[in-house]
Amino acid sequence: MKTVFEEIIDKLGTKKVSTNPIDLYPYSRDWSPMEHDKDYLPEAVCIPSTTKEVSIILEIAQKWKIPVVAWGGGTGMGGSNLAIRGGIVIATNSMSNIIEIDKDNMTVTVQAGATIQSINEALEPLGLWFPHDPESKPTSTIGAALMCDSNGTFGIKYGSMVNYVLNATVVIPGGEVIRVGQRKAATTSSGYKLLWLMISSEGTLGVMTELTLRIFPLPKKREIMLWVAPSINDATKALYAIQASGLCIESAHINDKHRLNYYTHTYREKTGKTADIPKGYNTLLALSVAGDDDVLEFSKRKISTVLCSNNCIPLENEDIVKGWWDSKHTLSWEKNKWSSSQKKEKFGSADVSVPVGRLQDMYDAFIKYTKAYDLPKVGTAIYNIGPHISPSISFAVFVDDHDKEKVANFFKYVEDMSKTAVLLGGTMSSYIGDGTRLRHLTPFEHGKSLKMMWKIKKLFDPDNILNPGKIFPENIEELSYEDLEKKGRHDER
Amino acid sequence: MMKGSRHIDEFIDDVYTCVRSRCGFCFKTCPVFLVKGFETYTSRGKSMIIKAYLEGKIQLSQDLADRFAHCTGCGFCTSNCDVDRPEIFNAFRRDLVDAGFTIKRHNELCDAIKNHNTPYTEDELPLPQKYKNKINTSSSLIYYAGCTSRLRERDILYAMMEILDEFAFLEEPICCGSVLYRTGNKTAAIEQALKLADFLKPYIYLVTACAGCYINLKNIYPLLGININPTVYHSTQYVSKLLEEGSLHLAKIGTGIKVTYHDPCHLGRHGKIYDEPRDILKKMGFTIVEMPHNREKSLCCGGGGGLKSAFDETATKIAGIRATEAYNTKASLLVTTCPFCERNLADGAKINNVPITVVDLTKLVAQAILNPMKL
Repeated sequence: MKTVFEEIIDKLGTKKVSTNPIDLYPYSRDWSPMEHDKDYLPEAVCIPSTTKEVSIILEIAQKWKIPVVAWGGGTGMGGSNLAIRGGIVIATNSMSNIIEIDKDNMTVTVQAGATIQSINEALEPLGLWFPHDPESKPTSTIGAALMCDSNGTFGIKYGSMVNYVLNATVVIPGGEVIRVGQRKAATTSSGYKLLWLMISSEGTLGVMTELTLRIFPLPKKREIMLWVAPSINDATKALYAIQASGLCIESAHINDKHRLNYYTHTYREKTGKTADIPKGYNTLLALSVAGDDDVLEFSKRKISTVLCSNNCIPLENEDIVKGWWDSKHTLSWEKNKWSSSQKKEKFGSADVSVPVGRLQDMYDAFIKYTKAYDLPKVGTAIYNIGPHISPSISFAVFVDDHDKEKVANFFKYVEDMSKTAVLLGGTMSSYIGDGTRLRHLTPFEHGKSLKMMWKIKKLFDPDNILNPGKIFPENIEELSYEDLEKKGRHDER
Repeated sequence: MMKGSRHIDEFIDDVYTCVRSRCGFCFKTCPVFLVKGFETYTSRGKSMIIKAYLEGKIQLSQDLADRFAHCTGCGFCTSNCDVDRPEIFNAFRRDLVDAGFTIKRHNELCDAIKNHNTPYTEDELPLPQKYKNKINTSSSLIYYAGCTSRLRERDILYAMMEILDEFAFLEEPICCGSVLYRTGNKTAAIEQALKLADFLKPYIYLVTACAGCYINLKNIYPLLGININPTVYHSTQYVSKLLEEGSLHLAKIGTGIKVTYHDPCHLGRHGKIYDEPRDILKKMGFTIVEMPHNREKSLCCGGGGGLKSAFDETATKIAGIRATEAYNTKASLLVTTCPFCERNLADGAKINNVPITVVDLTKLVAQAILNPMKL
């Protein structure tokens, strides 16, 4: 009798399936902090080229009831793509074709494994742009960006994945292929929004193989401006004042001093100095505007007027401005920021979101818990995933991954930060997803509604073969509505 | 093998830096990944494999040797990283070779070099008399042609001999040992380098048209602790020097002709020579249209690191991708500056039915000197 893997090899061929541990170890970790020698080894990895091939894998996996985990660029930070129960990894980065660029309707249709950068490389010669812009764009795939609902640099103007995605092809357990969404229309009032259900589902409902996305005209020119404000609240007020003025900014980021230092990697490389900011000004407000020369000129002047009357002063050192933007968008550096900064310790982050009026409270918690758990600060980066001011926050630290206690402390830090965010009226994840790290806290975040989520999950995937061990706690099957009500955030009872 | 005696031990911190960073910026134009599809073949994937080995989870094996031989050493991964990737993998290959896990075809090449001073087994053709007349053993300049030009790509050999007025020339090919070093045979590479260094002692200048020989003599020999007497020039540097001095004049043979230029990895990313070949093309009147991947972000032809010799199918598939990129620029010619790139790109274009002509720049320069009306 053939094994499950032999059955898949029969259909896909030996060049697209491997069970050799040598080929499996590269798929055994994501970018989550974990002990340096930890790994989660799948039993097989497949590199399908088409939706049909993914369908074949899911049909056979369903028959054998073996776990299937979809893999994008492998840069996730929450364990979402780890094969914690073994099984098959489907490496979607083997499906990376740009299927159609529809200039008339301003859409692009791609395979789910296309990297975000590759989409823009195809669009740029046509004067077009897909503005979702995480720093991992050379590697992170569009399917994974949607499945984890990642954030990006230009969110304040263009929004997040939910604002871009129009249509998707999804393979569900058993191999059935479904289309979700509204084809190329911008909106729909018809039926349940199954497309939206896929967003941040972390591959627990289906494996996405194709997406249609909205695209935009590529701006002719861009101006980057760095300003500093006394506090986070001052920076937020200044941002509101800019919006009230009617200006259209394309990116707005708030950083603390630690993160400014981290982001100005190329400035440090060039000058050997830390990008310092004037005394009494603790917060960076980084803005960009894009468009024609006259619009940029007016925007810059108007922004200057508004910010000067809102307790902000400009940071005019061009090397600092360039260094910050190198890190945020252009990714042009002599020595790669990621490898340069993680020679000894690992980057890790709590990715909470809170209502804009509670940002300072959340920042105070960051200071408190980094001190309590003795974690060096990378710093705070507040993205706005808009439209409008809508924080998605990276409270990042360094973790010594050779020290089990330090790694354990990191997870305690994430737990305390996550609970604080929920208690402040926010959410514990805003761009990473629950993955393995927060699954024990999802009852606290969602209360009774987690039961409904589990019912939906079982409807798609009755045998729980798709990315098992993510989002839901281990004992989800036994938890009643009453149990979840008790575990949920206090004021929701 | 005991810990501490392994070549890879020198790079343990670098391996774990990659495991921590996981940026994957090394994927994009990793030539082997483009063709094979598994992360195993990327630099990030290889770090994960070495990690598993360092932690005792996998052992050195023939399969590992096979995976690590699937690397052209193009250095694209390092251009996006703070860690010197090819050197890590060279060290690991040395551990594999020391443990007896080798690639048959690489062994044959190494044996051929040890026994005959060249990886190729065919006899060298005699030089035409007009070139013999240019050889002067007491010249301060030696033209070091490299094995591929001498035995396989004779057009490049003759073209260089047209460009140079007078030069010394080794009576027989003596391989620089690049392939030995890049396939994990460091000891043999040192022995070969010492042999060649001895022959090069009398000369002040050395010029070669092979990007692989150039970077081996220029960068790898010092790493092996070997200093050679002559200053090393790639042919593009030497031609640029002659043009600057006014001792060489090139006809405008390229007027109205669009060409695209493929940066050989050893000349570009490893040697940082990007402008000289482009300037020479412009001086001959050619219009250069760049491929999307150019200069430090150039896509490898697939020919290096022993990949072509051991895994020709993979190498020519990679070359097909690069030739297609060149074809899409609508250029008439795909110009390069390395006999290995020229051969593999031409093979890749042919096998993958990409209608573009591949030519080494040296031949165009010779053409501009010899017969300016011919193009």
